[in-house]
Amino acid sequence: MAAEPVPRSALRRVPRDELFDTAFFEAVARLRIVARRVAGGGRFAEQRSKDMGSGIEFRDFRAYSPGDDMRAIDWNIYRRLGRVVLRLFEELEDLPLYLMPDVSASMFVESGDGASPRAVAGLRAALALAAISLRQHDTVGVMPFAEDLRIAVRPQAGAGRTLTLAGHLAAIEPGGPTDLVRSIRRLKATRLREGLVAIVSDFFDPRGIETVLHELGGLRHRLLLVQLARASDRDPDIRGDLRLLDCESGQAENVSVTPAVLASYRAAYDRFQEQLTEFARRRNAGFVRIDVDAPVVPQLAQLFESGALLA
Amino acid sequence: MTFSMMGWGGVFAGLAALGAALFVLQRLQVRHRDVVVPTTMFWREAVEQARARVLFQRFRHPWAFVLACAIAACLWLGFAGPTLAGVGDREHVVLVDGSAAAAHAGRWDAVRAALDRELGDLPSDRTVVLCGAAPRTVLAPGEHPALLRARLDGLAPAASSPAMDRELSRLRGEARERPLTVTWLGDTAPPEGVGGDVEVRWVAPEGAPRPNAGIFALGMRHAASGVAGAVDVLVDVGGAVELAGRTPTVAVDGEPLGTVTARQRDAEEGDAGGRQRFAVRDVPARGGLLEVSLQVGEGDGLPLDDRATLRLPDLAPIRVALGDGVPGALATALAADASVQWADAGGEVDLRVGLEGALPPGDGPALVLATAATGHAFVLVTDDERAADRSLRDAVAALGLDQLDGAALAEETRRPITVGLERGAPRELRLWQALFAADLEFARTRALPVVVANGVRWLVGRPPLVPFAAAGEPLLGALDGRSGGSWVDGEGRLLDPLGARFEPPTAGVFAGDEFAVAASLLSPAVTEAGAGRAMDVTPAAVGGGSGDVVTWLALLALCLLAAEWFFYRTGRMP
Repeated sequence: MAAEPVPRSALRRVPRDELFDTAFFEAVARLRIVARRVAGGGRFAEQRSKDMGSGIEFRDFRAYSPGDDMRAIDWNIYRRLGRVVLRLFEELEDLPLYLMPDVSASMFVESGDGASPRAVAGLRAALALAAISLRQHDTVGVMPFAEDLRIAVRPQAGAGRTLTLAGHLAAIEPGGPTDLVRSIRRLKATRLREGLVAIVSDFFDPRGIETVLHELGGLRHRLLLVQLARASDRDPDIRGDLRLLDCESGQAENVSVTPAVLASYRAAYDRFQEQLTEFARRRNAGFVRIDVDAPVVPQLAQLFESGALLA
Repeated sequence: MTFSMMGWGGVFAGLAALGAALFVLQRLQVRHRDVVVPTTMFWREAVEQARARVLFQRFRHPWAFVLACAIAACLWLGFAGPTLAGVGDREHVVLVDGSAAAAHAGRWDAVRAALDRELGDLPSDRTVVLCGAAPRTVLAPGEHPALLRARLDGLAPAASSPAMDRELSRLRGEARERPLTVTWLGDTAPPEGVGGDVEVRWVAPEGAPRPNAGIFALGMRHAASGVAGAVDVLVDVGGAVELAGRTPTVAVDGEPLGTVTARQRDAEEGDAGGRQRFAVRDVPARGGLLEVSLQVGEGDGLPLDDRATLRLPDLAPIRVALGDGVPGALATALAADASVQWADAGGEVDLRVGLEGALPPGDGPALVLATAATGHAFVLVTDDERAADRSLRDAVAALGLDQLDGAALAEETRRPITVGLERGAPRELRLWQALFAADLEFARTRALPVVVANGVRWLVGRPPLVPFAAAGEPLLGALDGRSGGSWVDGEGRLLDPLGARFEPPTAGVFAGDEFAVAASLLSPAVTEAGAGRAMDVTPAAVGGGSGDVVTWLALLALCLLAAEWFFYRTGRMP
């Protein structure tokens, strides 16, 4: 039986000052240093182009053919071997980062104990990742999703665009119910240049995680799954005869929460979690689980240092 | 275990109904608390898994249901009034003295108190019988003691002699499946040596009866002096109160026999133990009510036995007018009757005797000699409205005709000797004149004067001499053989003994078809109740006390309620 969902008017956009304060930007700056040191070139992943280009990375030798660039001749080999060969170098390209922050209604609903909505941690995580990519001269696009995907910021590069992106993220309005499947299909239809798609979400799609992962499996981009979770997702502190209202759909479920029911709930959540991590492992996707009730940037730094974010 | 409020069927039916009701309540939709969650998809899956289990686990909160059922069962069983001392190996009957012996000052309350105590120790299938004017079951097996208190509140000891021994005899004579224990509750001691499988335990109420003295015997006889129309009255008094110098007063129809000389009021004997006998001689018997009173003074424990009454017979001469032609044998028999007084035919006459068609003038009762030896040998004309067979039977007995050798007489007369009954007034007795023929044996038999004398008295309807009438004692009937027929008490209730000898149930006036009697409380057991009882008797323990199961059930229910509250408050139970 569907009841009235949480009205849109009850959802509020998190103010920018509350979302991205000075301490957050300082933390992000430290995070960029950590990321650069750990990743060598500071990239999320090495994007090696298939093309031979004028990069500085040596790749191979080739016999000289008339018309080749004389500057590429390796004169050391000519002196030793008397043969004329060309030194070939890699063409390194940037890795576009397509941020997909979840801005559905559930992300903006405050939890019962007064904790911040998940959207706070989600948007912060998105900005932190964007800051790292921009510092590496990668392009960053912002495509929030709720009931559908939309392009809030087209992929753009520039290290100084962090603040601009912060403003765009803070201006995102709460959306409707979650439809990750449709949003992924929309992303596929955009025919964007292959890059890294970072989905920042709790992945609570009413169609089920199997359907979502099936759709993600057909995506040609690299994937980084940033799961926004809190402890009460697996261990809800509720007891008794309850009518549970889905904050997005308004679906009501009458439940007598007994120890047996709680055990079944945890088992269902564990299956969901396992499916998500197993997909990331098989897909060779990046996976990070963020506790929304704890500072986001230290969790990302920890994961950088552990190498978990390197695909 | 048994239940005083209902049987086992009712107990189980109630438990089943409570269980069903609680089950329905458990299954009803409860009021849920609304909680907003990010998603319900995990909860749906969890509920589906829980729903898919076996039927038993589909039931919501089984332990809460069990706890509620346990509480309800305790309360229901407590309401049912269980007792551990249920049906045992012996049957229990409590005989309670409801006679005048319990009417002594304060004794009825003591009897009730003792009864309350006894009920607490007896099993629930006991019977309590109140032995007053008539045995009366006041508490049937399985009934709650509260019913007994309500019933006894409307009762009081009757002015009757103790009847517990007769009830005990009746119980002893009954066939029963289990041995019987009779609890004898009263001041008078039970009879000894009852025997059989009947055990008698005497429970005396607390305390002792106050000292008492009264009249315990009253009777009369024809005057020994031979004075016509007079009787001698004998009175026995006694008790624990000193009666020296106290003489009962005697009155007839309210008139004291103050004019009786000292000769007529003698103290003849003085028995040991405080008993005395008085004789009142030559009391004129004219059918009045004789009343004897004894002034005991302060300290008298029971006023009921201080007064006794007796209906005097009417022994006034019967004025008989004799017609012409009456056989000599009949005239001789009439002359021999000391009560008969010849009267002139034209004067005041009580009875006319003569040949049919030649009776002396008048319209009163008549003894008629039928000249024709046809029809019945004896015909009784009476205005008795009872059934003909009963009227005839009583009349035949009253006349003494049942003492006649009817076969011999029939042989002599060569005719069947029968008795007939006709309705009419005034009374008549018609008999064959031929019966008095000199050559018939009937004229010479000793039955003739008896028949004539009884016939004369039956015709004139005089109250007979009833020697004594005691409450609870069989009425011997009149000396002239009349039994009195059917009897009613002072409130008009029929006390038909169905052919048995009539027993006045209590002191009072009882009217029969033939005559009335005034019964009195005349019982040495009542008058001397408790006298000489040295100590209180400690009753034998019955064994197997009932136990107050109800209290324990209530305590258990209270504990379960507390546990339920604790579990609810700690969130372990919804």
